[in-house]
Amino acid sequence: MADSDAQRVARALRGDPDAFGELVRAHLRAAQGIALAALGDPADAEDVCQEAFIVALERLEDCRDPARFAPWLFRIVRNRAHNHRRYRRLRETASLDAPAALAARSRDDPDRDLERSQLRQTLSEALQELPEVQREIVVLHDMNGWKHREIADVLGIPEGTVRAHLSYARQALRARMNSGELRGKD
Amino acid sequence: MDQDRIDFSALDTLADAQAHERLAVRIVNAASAELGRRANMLSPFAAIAGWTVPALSAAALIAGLALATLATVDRSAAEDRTMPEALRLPAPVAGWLSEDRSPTNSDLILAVEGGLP
Repeated sequence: MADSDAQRVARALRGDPDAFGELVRAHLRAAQGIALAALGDPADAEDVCQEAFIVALERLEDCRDPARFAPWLFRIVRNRAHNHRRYRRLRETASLDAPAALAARSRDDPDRDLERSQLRQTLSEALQELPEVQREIVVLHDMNGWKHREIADVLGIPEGTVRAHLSYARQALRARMNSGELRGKD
Repeated sequence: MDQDRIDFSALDTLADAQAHERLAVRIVNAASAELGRRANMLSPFAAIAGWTVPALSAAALIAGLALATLATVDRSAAEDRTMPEALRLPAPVAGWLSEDRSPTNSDLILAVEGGLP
């Protein structure tokens, strides 16, 4: 039987790499979803996830309820993502190289065709227009396959509120993605 | 399957199991320094526990040497001597001990005038 998060945290506190690896593998996808919801860019979200897991390990003694490691980790992910977003804004304001950077990234992923790249950009932009809580809910539910109850537990809000936010987020995303304004940009 | 679900596959870079595992390995590798620090950071109890084996080994060695020394010492000479002789007590004191009495004032004066060795 697999260890619980509390057991994994106890072992990771003693420097057990296997326990830390289990924590990473168990929560990486959700952490990436939360970072993606904040940043809109999968590569940035992965970098933020890596930072967040390292910070979580360094501060593991601060996790007062190891059984609830995941919500504690996701708070770190959210904070790191916000910091990264602020940094990215400053960087993009200061630099005119953003289009070149995007082009370079696209050359790194030759398997992805233009249509997919456009879809990614469209989705990312549409996502960024939602309130943060709705971004997290729609990504955790529709991308990561979480249940309403699980999202409510992690975000600390009622399940009914999760459903309402999810419904609104989907409508807003569809409307944004179908709008001629966005297609015109692409 | 929920029909209303938004298709996020274009953004879902970790849906691929290999990509997920690659990132997980990258994170664990990046954490190796902190994991090593934690592994080397023993608690006081663990440190004490770590010392018990060498301490017990040393105690056993000393006990063994002591027993061997006692076994090899010539005990016949010691057995022939009385306690005052073994302790090298002055004769007047040895006398008081053998008589099992406390010295009187006059005993003490005589002993001092006689000069204890």
